[in-house]
Amino acid sequence: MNKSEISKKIQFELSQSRYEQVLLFGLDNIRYVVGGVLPFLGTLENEQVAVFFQQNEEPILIAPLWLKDTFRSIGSIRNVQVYTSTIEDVLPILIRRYGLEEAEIGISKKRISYKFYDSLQNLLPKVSFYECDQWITDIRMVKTEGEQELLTEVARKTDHGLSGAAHHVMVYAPRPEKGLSEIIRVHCIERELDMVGYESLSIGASGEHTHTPWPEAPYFGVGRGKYLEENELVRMEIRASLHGYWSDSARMLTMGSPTTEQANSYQQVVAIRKKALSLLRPGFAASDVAREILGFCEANNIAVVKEHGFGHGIGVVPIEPPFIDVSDPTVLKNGMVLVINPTVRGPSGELVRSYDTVIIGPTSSRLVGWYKNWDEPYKAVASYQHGGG
Amino acid sequence: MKNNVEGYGLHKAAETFNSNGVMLNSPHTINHFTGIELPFATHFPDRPLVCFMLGSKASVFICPYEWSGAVADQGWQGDITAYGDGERNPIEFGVEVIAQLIEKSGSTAERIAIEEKFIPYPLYLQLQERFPKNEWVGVDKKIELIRMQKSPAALELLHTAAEQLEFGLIGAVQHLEGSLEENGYTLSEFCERIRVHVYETGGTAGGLAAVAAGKGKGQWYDQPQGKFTHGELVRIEATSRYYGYWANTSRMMVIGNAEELQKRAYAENLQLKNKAVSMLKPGVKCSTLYNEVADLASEEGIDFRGEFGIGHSIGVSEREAPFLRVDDDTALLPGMCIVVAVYTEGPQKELICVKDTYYISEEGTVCISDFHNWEVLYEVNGFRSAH
Repeated sequence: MNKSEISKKIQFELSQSRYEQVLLFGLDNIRYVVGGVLPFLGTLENEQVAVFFQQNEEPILIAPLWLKDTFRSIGSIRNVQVYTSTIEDVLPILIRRYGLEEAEIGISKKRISYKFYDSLQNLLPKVSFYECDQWITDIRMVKTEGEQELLTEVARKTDHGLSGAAHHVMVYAPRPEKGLSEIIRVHCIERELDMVGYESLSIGASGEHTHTPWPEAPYFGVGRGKYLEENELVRMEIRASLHGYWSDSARMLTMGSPTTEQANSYQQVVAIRKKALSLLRPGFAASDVAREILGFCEANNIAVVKEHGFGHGIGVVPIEPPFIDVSDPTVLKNGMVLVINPTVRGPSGELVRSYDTVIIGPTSSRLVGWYKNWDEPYKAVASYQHGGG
Repeated sequence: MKNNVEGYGLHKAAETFNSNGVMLNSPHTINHFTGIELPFATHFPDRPLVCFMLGSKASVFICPYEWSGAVADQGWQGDITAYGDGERNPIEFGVEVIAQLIEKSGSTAERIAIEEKFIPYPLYLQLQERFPKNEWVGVDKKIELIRMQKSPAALELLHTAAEQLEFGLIGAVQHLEGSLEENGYTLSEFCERIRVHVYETGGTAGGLAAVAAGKGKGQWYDQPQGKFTHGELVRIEATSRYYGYWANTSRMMVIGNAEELQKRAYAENLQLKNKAVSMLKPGVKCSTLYNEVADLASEEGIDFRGEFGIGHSIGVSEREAPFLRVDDDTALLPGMCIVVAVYTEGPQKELICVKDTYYISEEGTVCISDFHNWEVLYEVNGFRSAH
């Protein structure tokens, strides 16, 4: 994907909007406009990063001094302005430099604190700040062709990585959960996925540990002493990235042939997936899709975990709008990329799920990234399926 | 499973802040006060957290469904109200939950301590509109001070985290021995090995794992790409976590035998670092410490990269206040843990840094991260090491 593709898109959208300039904050917005891999952004508790876009001007990145070289070399934005103490030291100077001290400026209010907003307004009393969160969200939700290709690639590589890890699971010489979560990660790295820490966590959960999304907290995604056991359902999950774009994946594995109850639960997940795929197309509201799926589950006595929702957008963060949930009125559009994530309760209380990446096209949606056919779970057998350890 | 550090406690916090209630939004602060750790929460901007306590009457933890089990498993004693993982308006959801709790308490004129720096703008606005008689009092400075001084239990976890990261890093380095030319070790695989080794020593999760080499050697972070090159001076930056407490380190190594210029640059870095360490005492201002190191660099003609500062504190986050910077006049206090991180330039404009963590007390300053002798530049030149 061309590094400047997103900046150009924002410049175009800016020219079509009510805003002449916008000031963007937040890990997701910064990753989106800067491009590249910036895993450390979420750790900057005391140091803000912002991007200032103006019509017909190059965007400006504002960052702490110590990150100047990193941003200049990684991202697409060449104009990096820096501060030593706080971003309030440099923002007013920058805005005045462009003669905008009485201008209207869009600002992503959901990504800042009220104290920071007050401080900025006091420093620039004649500037009218307008919320632009929905504007940037609308832009981010519809992916460019380059983004769609990248998200397809990361979904495919992740599915391949998960399947590669599953190949190493053998029923009669089972590995511990910790060993499974590690080989999920390693197989993803082998496929060039970026597995820097923080939100890049993998899970290998079996038996009762599949009952909750994050078993054994605060050992998030590591796993401890439990071994996978015959006849158990095993949940494999990973969030990984490629060039700053994410996958969100979960697949099921059975330790031996699935029991009738396990197979039934899995087929309920498959049925919801098929229903969702038939509904996801331009013009439908995400909330209406969610209501239809809920009705489908009710009619078919499917024990769906509705608190988990049915899907979400994916891009520079693993979970972003739109959400296939009754709370989200977003109308689906051509170019949106979603992860559909139906989850049902299994026979022993397991969370049974299978996540799929879906691209909304001009008239329908298509599933991307499958390494294997997930109409059935992965079935671990008595020996290694590829003949080695 | 419960974190073995109970946290500062919300009731104690309310007393300290002279308030009837407390509302926390920063995942790090929530961890410090409650012992509930959600380490990835800062990376999910559409999933805000609210930890709210009102007098002795009630408390609630508001989070997405996906994380709610983890909150319960770590011992949260109050209510947990989860919004759906697909909830588009979690702030509005949170406001309703808090409103019900305030209304149930029967009082609408409470003094509630908040984190001004972290409360999302729309949350504050809606709460203020809904409860105009409540006094929402910013206590950021007090929180910062509480977080700066570590309890003995927190110190123990920080020590363990530092040890795990150091062993993880050394374990990964030892895998390089004798394997570079044959296998062409990639930087990303090396980073993964740091994390694997941290896990093997009991770490609960990895954070940053980066190697500055090749084209990225002159910047603080670059995505690990390509392979190690003979003769290069390489910097490793890594962070990891143990029960909510972080380790943060940086180490240097040379692929092959070190050249004289590389050794000299490394020694110069240690000279500045040792100067900083010698001044880590209660009462010394961070800015004074920085200025002394900058002056020494100037006197000695050392290529000091002052824009990085020379360190910071560490605790429930990997980089926190106070900062050893020219503009931070915070005086060091007993109980602080400080990461000394002096950056200088090598012969090829590489950034050099050898980070260590120190605990400051009235009795003296102790290094809690130095389990290998890093006074000599590490040379990756041997056969495969046992580890």
